[in-house]
Amino acid sequence: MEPHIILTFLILGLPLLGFVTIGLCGKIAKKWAQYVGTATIGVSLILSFILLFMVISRNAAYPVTSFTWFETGKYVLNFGFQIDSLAVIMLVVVSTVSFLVHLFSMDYMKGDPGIARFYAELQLFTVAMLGVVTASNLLQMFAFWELVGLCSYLLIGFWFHKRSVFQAAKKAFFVTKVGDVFLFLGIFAIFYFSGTLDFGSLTSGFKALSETILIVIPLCIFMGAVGKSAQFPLHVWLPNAMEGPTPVSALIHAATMVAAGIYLVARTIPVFIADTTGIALTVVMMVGAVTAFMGATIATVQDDIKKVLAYSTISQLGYMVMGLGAVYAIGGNHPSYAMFGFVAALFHLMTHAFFKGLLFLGSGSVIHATHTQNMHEMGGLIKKMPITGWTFVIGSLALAGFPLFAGFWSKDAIIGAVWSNFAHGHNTWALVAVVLALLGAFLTPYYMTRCVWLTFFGKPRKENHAHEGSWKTTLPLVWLAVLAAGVGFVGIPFWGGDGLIPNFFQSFLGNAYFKATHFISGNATLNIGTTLTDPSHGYETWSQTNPTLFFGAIIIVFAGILTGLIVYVWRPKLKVRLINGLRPIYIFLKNKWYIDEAWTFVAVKPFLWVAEFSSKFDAKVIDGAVNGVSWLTVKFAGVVHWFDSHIVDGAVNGVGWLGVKLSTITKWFDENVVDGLVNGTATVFGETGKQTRKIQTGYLPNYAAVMFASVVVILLIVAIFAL
Amino acid sequence: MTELWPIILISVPVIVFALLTVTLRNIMHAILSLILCLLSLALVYVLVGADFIAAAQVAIYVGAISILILFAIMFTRDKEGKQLVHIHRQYPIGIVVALCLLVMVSFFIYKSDVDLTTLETNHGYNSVEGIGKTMYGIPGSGKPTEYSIPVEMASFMLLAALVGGVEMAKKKEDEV
Amino acid sequence: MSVLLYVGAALFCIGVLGALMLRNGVRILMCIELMLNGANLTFLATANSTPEPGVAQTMVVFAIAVAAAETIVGLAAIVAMYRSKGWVTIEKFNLLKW
Repeated sequence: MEPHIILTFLILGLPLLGFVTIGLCGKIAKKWAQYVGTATIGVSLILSFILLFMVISRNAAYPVTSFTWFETGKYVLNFGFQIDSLAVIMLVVVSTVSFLVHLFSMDYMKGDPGIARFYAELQLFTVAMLGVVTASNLLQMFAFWELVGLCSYLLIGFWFHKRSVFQAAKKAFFVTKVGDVFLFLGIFAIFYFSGTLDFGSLTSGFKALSETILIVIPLCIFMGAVGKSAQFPLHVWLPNAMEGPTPVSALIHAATMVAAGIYLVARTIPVFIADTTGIALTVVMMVGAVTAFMGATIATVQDDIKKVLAYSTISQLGYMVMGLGAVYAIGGNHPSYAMFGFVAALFHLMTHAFFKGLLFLGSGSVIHATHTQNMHEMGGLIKKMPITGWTFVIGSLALAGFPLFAGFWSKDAIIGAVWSNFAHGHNTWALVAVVLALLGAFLTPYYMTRCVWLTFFGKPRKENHAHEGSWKTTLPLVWLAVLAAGVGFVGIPFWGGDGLIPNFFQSFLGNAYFKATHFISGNATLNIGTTLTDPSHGYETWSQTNPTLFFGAIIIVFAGILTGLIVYVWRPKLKVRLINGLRPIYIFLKNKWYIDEAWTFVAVKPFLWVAEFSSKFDAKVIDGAVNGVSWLTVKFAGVVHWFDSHIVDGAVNGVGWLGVKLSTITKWFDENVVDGLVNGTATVFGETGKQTRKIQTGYLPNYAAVMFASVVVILLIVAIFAL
Repeated sequence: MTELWPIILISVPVIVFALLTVTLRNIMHAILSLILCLLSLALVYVLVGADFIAAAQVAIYVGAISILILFAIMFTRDKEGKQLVHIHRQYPIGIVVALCLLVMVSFFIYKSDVDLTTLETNHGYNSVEGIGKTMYGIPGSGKPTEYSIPVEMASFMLLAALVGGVEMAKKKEDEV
Repeated sequence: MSVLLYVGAALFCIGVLGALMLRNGVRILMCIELMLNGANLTFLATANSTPEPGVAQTMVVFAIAVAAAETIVGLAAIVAMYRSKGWVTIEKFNLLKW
């Protein structure tokens, strides 16, 4: 076997071995579980770096090595590893963050009775995530993808004794499943049309397809990313996922798993490009833009430090998705593609993983020391915890896009890519996206200033005995701080000649990746690659970015920081006036854009109506059967009565109902504002559960009858519409 | 071209015994009529040329599954005494749904216009050898067929069902 | 020859009827056998007018295998039910109730 395959097996196998060992003997040996876990990931990290340098020195992707997984008839499914620049970058990012989180957790989870389970699950998660990024076909990736979701569920619900915790875990699982169903449909469609799921030839059967199908398939794939990467409107699970232990939030819900959606879209980008109308990519871009803006606005009013970071994560993921959507096509038959957005999105993915991991670990350190998550109960911590404090500041600067820090380069790259989509791709939607992105770029430094100031500066607002943790806590923070400050330099655009010269990151990722995987093999069907294999083409887009935008972004960042400082430091009274003056907006943001409520209305309420109806129906049928001959009469009377009370009265009551509903909603909001707490989600779900379960009569024949009645209804529909 | 009337003739007991299975009050009579129904069904299979399936029908359904059900009946005599009513109070729903289903399916069969008049008994295909080739592929060719995965899965599932059945039905040690 | 299709449909619907109105768990399993046989009959009736009759027969073999597995598990569940409760009357089981 070739060395890179052996390395890959080792990188995946060691954490798997750790998972099995810890999982089997964790109960006996709680003490060494953490050391075994950290050690396996440490070795995987070193091996990932070796693999990275192997790919760099080779300056091209390795050919895909695959083994036959199973074959049935003419279809063959492979199991293989795709080691190219995209995969090794993800490998390094995942194993770095995972290793540091393992190290950090030694202190954070010390004394927890479930520490062995915790480490076993972390190991399994790492295996799954590494599997996602090295998979060579969609089905294999999907298997690992689901495994990642499972680990996320297990780790969010780690402290499952608490009610809100397991509800959060359930919510995360179900909401992401909505996306996964669509993703699976997309995979089916690709397999149906192309007969293969290997990443190299996904689009091989797309030539004869109609435009509509070509739009629908990528959107199905994208729905998977929407669920996993917490994009609008399926982002609702991520803030609740913060119920899990903070290191888990750092690893899964900030740095790696939520980025899997970005990785998915990046891997399957030929499917998106195959849509020559560009609608699919525009949808991707706009979803990203809306998410980026929405996340940033909500983050400005959160009081829980982890919630601020959670919404900030949603916002940043929105930026990445927007960047991917900014990949665009010009012309008809011989399209040339601007890959700038692609590179920018993955660049931002990498930098974001480091600085958001840092911020979450920092917040974990703070929470561990103060035993509260409310920022208003912190303050002045910088003196007590200098290392945590200053590394947190560095992370915030990186997130805010302060010049020279990592987030600055990557975020500007994304905004530039979207701008070039407008300027050269002539996509008017891109202008909207740029505006939303710039608004988000203004809000990001604002809320981070607020967060940092409330947490670390000012006077301590509550007694606490905070102190710095041991080296196991501080080392990961310092390590990540160095990366957050410096990693951006692998992707900086240098000026020169008539435009911007390509940077290391772009030439490594962009050229090696595009050449090696998709575009040569996709060439045959779609004319993709004719222009892209020409290395000069990718560079062209750099000069297409707008220097004005570049400096504008810097000004916006400073404006955001200044606003934050004015509102929270220099003129605290202004804050109250702002809240009073902009009360409707404030309430709107406090309630997180009412998206949870919207889901309740769209998805849960109709179900409740059906439940109410069927429970009534059920009661009447049972009565009727008992009464024997009079059954029909009673039934008839019941129907008449039902008709009278529901249809006739219903029309009258409907208006009243709306009014009552409106007033109750208003009342509910009022109470929320007074309390200043937004934890309505749990209540809403509890109430709906209480109502919904009435549909479950527990009477077995009912279930069977409903099943077959549904079959009859389906047949009826088919008979009416298809015959 | 096979004659039509033998098939119709044997279809009658199939339907009648099936109805009796459902409607008879005594459960022993019900299982007897189920066995008869399955036996006459095996005859129908012979008439349409599926000899192997007919044999399997007799061996598996009539021979094994019926006996299994018989045992289950004897194991689960109701401790509260004989059931006076064998149908439950919501039976009208069942009748309505089943009738609707019958109407719908018949409508589809009527509409679909399947022409099954060419009922050639093609023994080349219907033999055991033909089924084996479909399921396992040509011997020696080394190529798996489309059905090799399902075959493996079916055998695995049978094993799992066997183990699960033993586990579920066995007496737990504490409740001997 | 489509009379066989009607017979298959009738068998299936008789099975449905029984499954929906009988009380005894074992008898419901018997009805499920009827339904499966209805499906099998439909397969075999159409087999000879398809290009590959062997395929339909293979399907029936699979269906019989599934039926066997289903019966094993179903009966085991009913016996286990009987062990713990002392009856197999399906409508008395309301564990699914909220």
